Amino acid sequence: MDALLADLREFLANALPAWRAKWPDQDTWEAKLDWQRTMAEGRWTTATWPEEFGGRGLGTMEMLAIEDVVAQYGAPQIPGMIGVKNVAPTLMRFGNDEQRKSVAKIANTDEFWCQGFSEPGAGSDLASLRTRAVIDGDEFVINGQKVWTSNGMYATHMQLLARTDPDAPKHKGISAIIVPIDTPGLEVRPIKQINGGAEFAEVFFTDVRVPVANLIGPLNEGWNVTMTTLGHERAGVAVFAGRLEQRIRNLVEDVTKSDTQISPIIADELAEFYVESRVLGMMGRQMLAKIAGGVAPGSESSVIKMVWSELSQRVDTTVMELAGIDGITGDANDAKVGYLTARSATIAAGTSDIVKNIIGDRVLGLPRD
Amino acid sequence: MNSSTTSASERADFRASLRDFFTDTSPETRVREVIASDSGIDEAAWRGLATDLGVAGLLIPEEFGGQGMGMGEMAVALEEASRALAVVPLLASGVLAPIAIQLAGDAAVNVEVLPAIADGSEIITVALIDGAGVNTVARDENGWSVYGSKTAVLNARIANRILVVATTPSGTGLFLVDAKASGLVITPQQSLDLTRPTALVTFEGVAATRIGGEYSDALKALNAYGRIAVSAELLGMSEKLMEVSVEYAKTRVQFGKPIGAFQAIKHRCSEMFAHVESMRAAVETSSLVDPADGASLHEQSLVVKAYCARFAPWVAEATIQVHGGIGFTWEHCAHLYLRRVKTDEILFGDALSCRNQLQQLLGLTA
Repeated sequence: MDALLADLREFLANALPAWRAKWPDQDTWEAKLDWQRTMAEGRWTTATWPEEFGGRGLGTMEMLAIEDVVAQYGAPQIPGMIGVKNVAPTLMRFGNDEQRKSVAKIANTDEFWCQGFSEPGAGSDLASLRTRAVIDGDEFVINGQKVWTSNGMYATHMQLLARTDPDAPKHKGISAIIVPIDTPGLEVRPIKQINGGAEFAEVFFTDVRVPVANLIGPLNEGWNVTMTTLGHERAGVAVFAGRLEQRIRNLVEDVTKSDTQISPIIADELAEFYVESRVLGMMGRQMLAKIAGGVAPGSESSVIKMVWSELSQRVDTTVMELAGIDGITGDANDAKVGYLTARSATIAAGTSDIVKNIIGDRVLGLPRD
Repeated sequence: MNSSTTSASERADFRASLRDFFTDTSPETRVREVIASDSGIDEAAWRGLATDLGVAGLLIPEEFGGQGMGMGEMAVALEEASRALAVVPLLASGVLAPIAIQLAGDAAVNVEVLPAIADGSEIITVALIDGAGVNTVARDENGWSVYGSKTAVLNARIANRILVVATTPSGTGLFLVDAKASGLVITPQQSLDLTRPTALVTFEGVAATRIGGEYSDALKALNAYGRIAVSAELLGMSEKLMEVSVEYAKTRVQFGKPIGAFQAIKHRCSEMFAHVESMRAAVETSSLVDPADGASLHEQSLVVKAYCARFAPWVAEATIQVHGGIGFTWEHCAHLYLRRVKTDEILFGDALSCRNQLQQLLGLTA
């Protein structure tokens, strides 16, 4: 592991300054894609992929360590995270030879993938999705609507979840289908968020026709095909826990170094955050130790997700309080944007309310409503 | 103090054997009998725990007849004992007294006192908190004498000897007195916690043995261990209360369904679970801190106590809420736990006082 991370540090020490020099405005889409290509050439984004797909065949712990070092160097996140983390592993596992040709293109940004999951009527209750795919000869005919599609505006391809058997129980009648974004009848519109950004899209399907050969895995098995790979991402919450702990240490340090006088109430709030984030960090480290010991994490990921989302939201509220009048004038822009953005912490990837249902039902065995 | 050297699976085995032990010796009916008898101790449970299982000597080095283990192992014992509401002087005589003595580093006293604690032949408690408006002092009058009073002294009535922290002409000292010594008066208090009676102890020139020298640094460390110990108790009780609440939510039917099917109840139970898991991570981590790393021990003890003292009472209160009317009755166990939880919340500083100390460590207040 040490040698691996030393390699990574050397790579970043060279590649990052070169990339920054090449792109004066690093916020542009082209600049971000270029960074992803650079990282892919070094096989750093694809470290957990098997070697036959251009990866390093490493485990979750190594990947988390890699991500930590990348964050320490202040490198930007790659834009094609969903393709690299979710779609490519799905294709490697369930795709046919033709479909697997996309894997390398996902790494080097020749293809840019989104996932068509959520719908206006299927958010936390994803399995109630209603977008239909009907087989007509050797084609699927797709009608319906997706929403909250991350990076939908930039995508070349979508991994779509659509209902292929409306009579089956809701988890059993769903299929995973590849849809090129330029297929006629498909329309993408950006969603402007409350924080002013537009990282998501709505996607409309009107008689969109794709070959039946675009089916990933067996027909009506789309739920399992998709959820199996999503499972790998759960370890990521342990990293979120560690980052929130560090963020609060930094916030406390900023406050103590600044001239701003803080009230005893704010000081106590910061101490509360410190306590809760330290405990969250301890939980995260225990979960990582478990994974490192080869034990699959159980309920920890749900608990950490719930605690992380509610705590990080409170922190942004206090940062806004600390900004005072500057928070509403925009002179403390980060506070304003952070406060607004934090509303999503308890919504994205399963609302806190639903996470509490999941813990109640699956961990505590309480009766379902 | 030794550091903890057992593995997680060894501690899990230890927990399982303690769980069995308390299930046999300390069911709720037995706890209520002992409480009603006003004896202040379940003699059989204590004999089994202290002597047969050797838990009284867990923290005592082997050379003094103990098991030479650390807080990681003791935290497990504290969790299990408090989970069962066992009426035993484990915190006082098994944790605080051995640590207080070892921190003083007095070879002669180690030899004389620690073996008696380890084999359960003596119960020794620790008097830390001055009575209202009192400064307990010790004077050297051809031998030390203690004057003053201490409140909330755990298990004082059943103690053979009492360790007293007192102000000396030059600072702070640790003193050992005989519980039957002349000038020493023990007045039982109307303790909130029925399983662990406290007393006011007054000292009118009580002859005392001084242990070690200047004790202020040791007292700081003793308080840190105290915070971790009561946090382990808070974890054990919170976990039990969560289980009791979940079980009730599964079986109590109202409006035609088990109340656990209602999200208001379900979410309360899920939050209990999240707090219990958080407390577990905090207690396990802090109880395994290397005793040689004093700064880390101090800081982590404040973090764990600040967390447990805030959320264990929340869990205990939520338990009563989930149970509705039955939770407010004397016959239900919820109040026995609530009483002990609130007591542990206060001992060694409540959440606010721990956060105040953390604010100072972090530089948020002068």
